[in-house]
Amino acid sequence: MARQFGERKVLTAATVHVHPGRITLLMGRNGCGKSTLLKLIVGTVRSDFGTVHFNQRMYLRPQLHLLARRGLFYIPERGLPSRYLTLEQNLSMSRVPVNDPRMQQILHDLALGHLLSSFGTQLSGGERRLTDIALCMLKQPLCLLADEPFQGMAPIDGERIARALHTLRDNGTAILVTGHEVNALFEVADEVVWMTGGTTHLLGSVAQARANDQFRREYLGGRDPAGTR
Amino acid sequence: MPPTYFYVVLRRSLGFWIGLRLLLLVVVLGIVSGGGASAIDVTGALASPGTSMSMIPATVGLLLFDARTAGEDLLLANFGYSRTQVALRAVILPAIGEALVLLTMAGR
Repeated sequence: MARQFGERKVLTAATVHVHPGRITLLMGRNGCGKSTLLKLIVGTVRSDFGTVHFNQRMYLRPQLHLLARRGLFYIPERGLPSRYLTLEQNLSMSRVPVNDPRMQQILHDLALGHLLSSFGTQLSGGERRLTDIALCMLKQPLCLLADEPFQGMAPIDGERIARALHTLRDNGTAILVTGHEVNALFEVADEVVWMTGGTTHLLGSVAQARANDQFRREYLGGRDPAGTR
Repeated sequence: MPPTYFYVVLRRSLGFWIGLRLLLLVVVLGIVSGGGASAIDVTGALASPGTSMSMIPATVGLLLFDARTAGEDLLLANFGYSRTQVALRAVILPAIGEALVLLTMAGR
């Protein structure tokens, strides 16, 4: 896919494949076009050219509600919960009753049970992120695109999100996540795609990405991916 | 569409429609009082409160804009609901309201 904003070519030829039961990590410097690529995929931003192939269909002009009907779920950077609805009303979009055992389990796992009557405006950034994941788990999508799911998360909530992503992956969901939280993301990812210069490079497994000199030099900035210098 | 959100849409569309109607009334009353002072022909303005069908698209437009600013468009889209589906539900109460206004005017 490609996209140019005015004179600025953000994406020139970006390609990403996601596979059932695998977590693909899309990494790159700020402003390199990670979020833009996700927006192009779900159609909230129009691409200059490129196609989306999903669940045996090709989309020239993808629209999120059509992709969603085929099993896609998209978590934008700003999160999903409506400011004017309570958490319970937000979760009711999934049509799963609040007293359903599956709902109860998800609320317990993500520690959201005590917030059911809170409005979207009353949720913290982390709670909104957990709500995004709860909505996704209630839908049980074939494919999840999550833009910076670990951003601003406390370590314990980051662990909850990681466990949820693993559960989704183990249930066969194809997952694409972006972000800069190297340690947390490397822990959940099965493969790494590096975005730079308007295009994408498949680096392979996390171990292969760690071993890639250019990736280490130009993205990690000399930091050891294990978290120590 | 989940019943919970359907009721939210109905409640909001009714609220916006009543709000727009009241706004129109205020504007018309302003024109009438201004017209009385400056001898402007206010016949059209007096007739408009009962015949303004633009209230329906205005209400739906406001509701869709409000849903977008609240971040509900992506939430709905993730569960397969398009803006058209929301708009179709948002049109119900304003349309009934306008029909009642028209019937009331016709009965005078």
